[in-house]
Amino acid sequence: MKMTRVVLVALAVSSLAAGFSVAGEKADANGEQPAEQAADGSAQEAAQESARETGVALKPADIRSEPYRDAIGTGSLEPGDEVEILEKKGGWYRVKTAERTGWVRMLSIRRGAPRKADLDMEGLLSLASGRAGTGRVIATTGIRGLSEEELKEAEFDEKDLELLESLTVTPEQAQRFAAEGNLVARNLEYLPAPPDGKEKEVWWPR
Amino acid sequence: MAAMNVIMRGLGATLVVLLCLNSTAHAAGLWEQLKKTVGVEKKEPGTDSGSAVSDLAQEILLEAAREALAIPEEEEVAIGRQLTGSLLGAAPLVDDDRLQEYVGSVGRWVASQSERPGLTWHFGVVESDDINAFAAPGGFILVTHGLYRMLQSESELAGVLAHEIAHVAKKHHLEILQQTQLVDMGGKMLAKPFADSEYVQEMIGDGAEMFSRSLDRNAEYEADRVAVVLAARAGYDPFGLPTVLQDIGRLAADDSSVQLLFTTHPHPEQRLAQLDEVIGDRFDGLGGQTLEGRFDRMGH
Repeated sequence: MKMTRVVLVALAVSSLAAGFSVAGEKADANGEQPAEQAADGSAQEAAQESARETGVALKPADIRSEPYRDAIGTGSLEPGDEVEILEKKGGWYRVKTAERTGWVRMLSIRRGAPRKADLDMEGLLSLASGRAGTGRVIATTGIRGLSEEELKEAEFDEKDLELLESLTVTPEQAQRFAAEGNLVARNLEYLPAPPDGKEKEVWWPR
Repeated sequence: MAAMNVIMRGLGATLVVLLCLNSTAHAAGLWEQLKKTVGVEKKEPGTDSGSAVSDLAQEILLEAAREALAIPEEEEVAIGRQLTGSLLGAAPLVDDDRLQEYVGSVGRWVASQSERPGLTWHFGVVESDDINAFAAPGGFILVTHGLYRMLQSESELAGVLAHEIAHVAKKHHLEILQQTQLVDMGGKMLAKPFADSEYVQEMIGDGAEMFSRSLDRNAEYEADRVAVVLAARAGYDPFGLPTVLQDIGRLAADDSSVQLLFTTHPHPEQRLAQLDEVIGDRFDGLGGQTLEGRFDRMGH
């Protein structure tokens, strides 16, 4: 069974590779792994140097001393206030403003657009995943086509479908997997739809 | 039992005909529409004396309609199989059994918390730099390698998969199909098996075309609401999906890796705003696992 799978995958990969060498990139799907790991370290270093992530408040929000509703309020944000995001914990961000540092609900904050340092890191990451020379990650999309036209022209792949079905995890296996991760199932009701059923307006600064 | 089914189907057909007289059927959700048709929602306490249909009769009618319009699970799976095989034709599975098994384990555990734990769920990562995830009826869920590489924890993966699980659990694709069929042909649909109908073919379209079409915006918002709860039920930090949406929201709309996602879904900022509205402080103190460690050990 396992053997069949490997053969099927090998077939899929080799047909892909043929398609890829035309585009001159990523011809060897197996070859990218070591490069990715090697460059990951430098990408992480870059991330640490440029870890200053910014955000902007979407609505009036309290800043608290701890990431809890009942924690002491130490200040507040107004829509448009800019913050630096230092840390994340559950549904909260620890943020830094000109005056203070504290915890704010993450959904009250819009994370800023990637700044130059982030873009540089993205360049490193794309280098790491074998997309060197193409600049940003986006430059390579469209090769493996998921555009509307390409979806329309897609041909049914019975082999890959059977492979997918052969990989199916049973509920019992999933339960063991959950236990290994100390995941404990909890009883919770679904969230009700918003009362008025209307789409909430999104607030944009400027 | 058989006789009961016939009666139920007959009632359902009557309802369907009633429904077709209402020109707003396109706009509202199927069940919402059914409820309005039989006047369940119009009724206010103490003002129902004029209602022609009693509460019990209304309930029976609704249940009958549901029965009559239900798509048998094996037909649903056949539709999902067809669509998934076609999508795999455009983007094959990533050649990494360990990764596939990991994603399948997270997905299956989350799916077990849904209202369809008995379904045979399938999860896979496909070769594509696009940032997207797909659900087909019957429990087939695929996520692109591009999206997987953006993630930073198992709880984020759980959140993404949970959104797709929600589409299947709530039968969003089938609901669209049923609505189209209802509006177009009234009771005639009851005469033949669903999977044979021209409407199924129309919904599936050519190849994997269905995945380039949008669901109702409210179906997307509902899937987000359901997803955060499914992740929380599974023991995860429920803020995995919102974190991913914030990450995706930072990408420019003209970034081709999110083009399909952005044209088929409300903007991430919109989705986050709806989630913020309904979550409020409900998850305060809930906590949950993020499992970055296990996620990192899988590699990207």
